[in-house]
Parts: sequence; structure tokens; C-alpha cells
Amino acid sequence: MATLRTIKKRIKSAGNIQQITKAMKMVSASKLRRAQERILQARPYAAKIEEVIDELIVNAKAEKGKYPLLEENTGAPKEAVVLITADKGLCGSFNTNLFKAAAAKLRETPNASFFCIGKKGMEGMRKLGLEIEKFKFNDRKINWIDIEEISGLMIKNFSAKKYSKITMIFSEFQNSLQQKIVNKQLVPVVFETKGARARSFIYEPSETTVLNSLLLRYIKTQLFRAVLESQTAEQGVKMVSMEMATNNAKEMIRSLTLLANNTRQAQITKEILEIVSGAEAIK
Amino acid sequence: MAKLLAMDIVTPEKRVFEGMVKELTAPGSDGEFGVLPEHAPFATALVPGVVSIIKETGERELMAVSGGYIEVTGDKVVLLVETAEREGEIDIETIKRRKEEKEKLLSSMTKEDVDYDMLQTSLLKEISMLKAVELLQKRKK
Repeated sequence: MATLRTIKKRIKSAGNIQQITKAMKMVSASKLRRAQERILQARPYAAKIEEVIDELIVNAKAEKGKYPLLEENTGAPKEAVVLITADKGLCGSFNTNLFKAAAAKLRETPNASFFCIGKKGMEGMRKLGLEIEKFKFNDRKINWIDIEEISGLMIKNFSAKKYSKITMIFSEFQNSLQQKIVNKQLVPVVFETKGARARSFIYEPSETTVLNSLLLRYIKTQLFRAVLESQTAEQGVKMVSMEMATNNAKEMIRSLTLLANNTRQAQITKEILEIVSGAEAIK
Repeated sequence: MAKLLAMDIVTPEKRVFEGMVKELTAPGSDGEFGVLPEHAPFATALVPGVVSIIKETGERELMAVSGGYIEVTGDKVVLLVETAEREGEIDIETIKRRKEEKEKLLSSMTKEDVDYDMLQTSLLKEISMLKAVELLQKRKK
């Protein structure tokens, strides 16, 4: 049976852990708020670019070869996948789930090229012995320049007909208890028109150039949004799992305290018994 | 009352301006152009430079933008730009210093370095911003 002292030690360390997890929960709560704000800030741009493309695409006559970003490179040897995970662990099954989705994708197309945003994804891919085309940390400092860099490389390779298509795997924030793993095709661009009416536009320098550069921008916007979504989702999961850890620690302290009390009581009883029997013997 | 244009200026990081304007001028890829209400539908790429708008109140506002896209449809204007800095918000010295720092760093690196691409991209951005800001200051004088 454990001695009173070791039990007390365990209570104390459980208490310490509880404090830490509680603090971590607070931190992710505030980070979550900030990440949500960033999404809100980025939303108008995304909405506008969709609107604009919507209007232009109605007028555009989709001829083959005119808009390479709308067409699949059928002859290309492989696909590319952008895997967006978190940098850090301690967020439940967040990274594992994403990784499972990536592994499923890998079974479909065993020779896919991977672009990783987030350290955990990169580490996982390395473990599988895969080469990573490009890696970026997925922290709160990630900005438009990073996105431009990674998507620039992607599009360059796509245009050089290295990839048949590009998909991205990321976690979408639903609420802090729920995330959805999204497996979305990035290039060729899938665009749902909302039925803007056709208008004749004046283009400068030309329709093709304008729409092509817009599509490129659209792809970047999509990627940027995915990164922000995944950060928000990560903080949400982290908050919940830290909350759970805090509760577990509390429960542990409770049962350990009970055990400690029992032990102490047993010891007292034993001591009294010894004294009483000692007194009996003297009589 | 004279007609107005509903205008939106957005960057990937935030919405910079939203409101009614009387007129605007912007640096298109084929030269600077102006837009007045009831302009024909029009779409073009933008190069780094100064966007000038005249607000409902008649107040003029200048903004330095670094590359992007503009679309005019009837009485609506949408400006999608990478960065947009309002007059007074930016400090030319800071940008210059940042640009020099990056140039120095870049020259000390080789193409194999991890950050090379990233630095190059951000340097280009810095240069285009600098250009825009310089134009802005020239305009003010």
C-alpha cells in the first residue's frame, strides 16, 4: 500500500498539471478569438473576388487552352496535395485526423507530391519517407507573403505540367467542439457560378490576361482561407482538450484525496490499536 | 444629386475602404485611368501606384497600393489589392530601411537557402510599396 507521503506528492503534481492545462486553455481561448477575427477580416476579399470572377466567367468563352488554371493536366505524371496541419500537438486528434485523410489520399495516388503547412504534417510525411516539396510553419505569423510563396511554386509546377491537379486537405472550423476535414480541389479551379448576368466588359490588356491573373489570385485566396480556418479549428480543439485535461486532473485529485484520507485513517487506527494492546500488556 | 460610385477596397488581410465616392483614379497596367459614375463595365490589372478617390463629402483621399485588380460594373467598383496604405499611415523611412535590410540579407544568401524564395517575394513587395509611397509623396507636393 502506498504511503501517505507518496500519495500527497501525487496530489500535488496533479494540482500543478491542472494549473498548467487551465492556463493553456485560457491561452487558446484568446488565440481562438484572434484567429476568428482574422477570418472575418479576410472574408470581404474572398467574397469580392468570387463575385468578380463570377461576373467575368459568364462572359468568358471557355476555349481549350485559354485558361490553363481551369483545366486538368491530363498527361501529367502525378497529383499534388497541400496538407495543412498544426505546428504543435496537445490538440486531441486534430493532427491525426488530418493525417489519416492524407494517408487515404496517398493510397489513391501513391506518387503524389506534398506541400506541407504546419510542422506536424511535415514530420508525419517524413516518417513515411516522403519528400516534401515545400514546408511552411503554420503559426499566427503566417501571412499573405507566405501563401504567395507556396502557391507560386505550386502554380509554377502545375503550369510546367508536373501535376495533373492540386488538392488541399485541411480542417474547417465549425464550432469549438466540431471540425470538419475538408478535401478540396484547388487547381483546376472549380467554380460554382451564382448566375451573374452577362455584361460586356472592357478589358485591359485582354480578357484572357485579366481572368487568368484573377484565377491565380483566387487560388491564393482559397489557400489563405484554408490556413486561417485550420488555425481557428486548431485553437478550438486545443481549448476543448485542455478543458478535458483540467477536468481529468480534478477527478484524479478527488480520488487521490480519498485514498489519502483512507490511508491516514488506517494508520491512526493501527496506532491506537498498538497503544491499547501495549497498555493491556502492562496491566 | 449627382450619382455616386459604391466602392470597396479590400486586401487579403483586411477591408481598407468601403463607401461612396464621386470619382477615382487608379494606376492600370496600361496607364493611369479615371472612373466616374456610369462608367462602362471595365476590368483591368493594377500596377503599384497611387489610388486617389474623391469621397461623397468632396474630400480627397490618397492611398498607396501595390498591384492588384479593379473591376467596374455600372455604379460599383471593386478594388482587389495586395496591400493598401492610407496617406499618413506609412512612413517612407521605415519601408526604405526594411528594404535595405532585406537586400543585404538576400545578397548574403545563396539560392539553396531555405528562406531565399520567401525573402525575394517579400523584397519585391517592399519595393512595390516603396514605389507607391514615393509616388504618393510626389503627388502631395
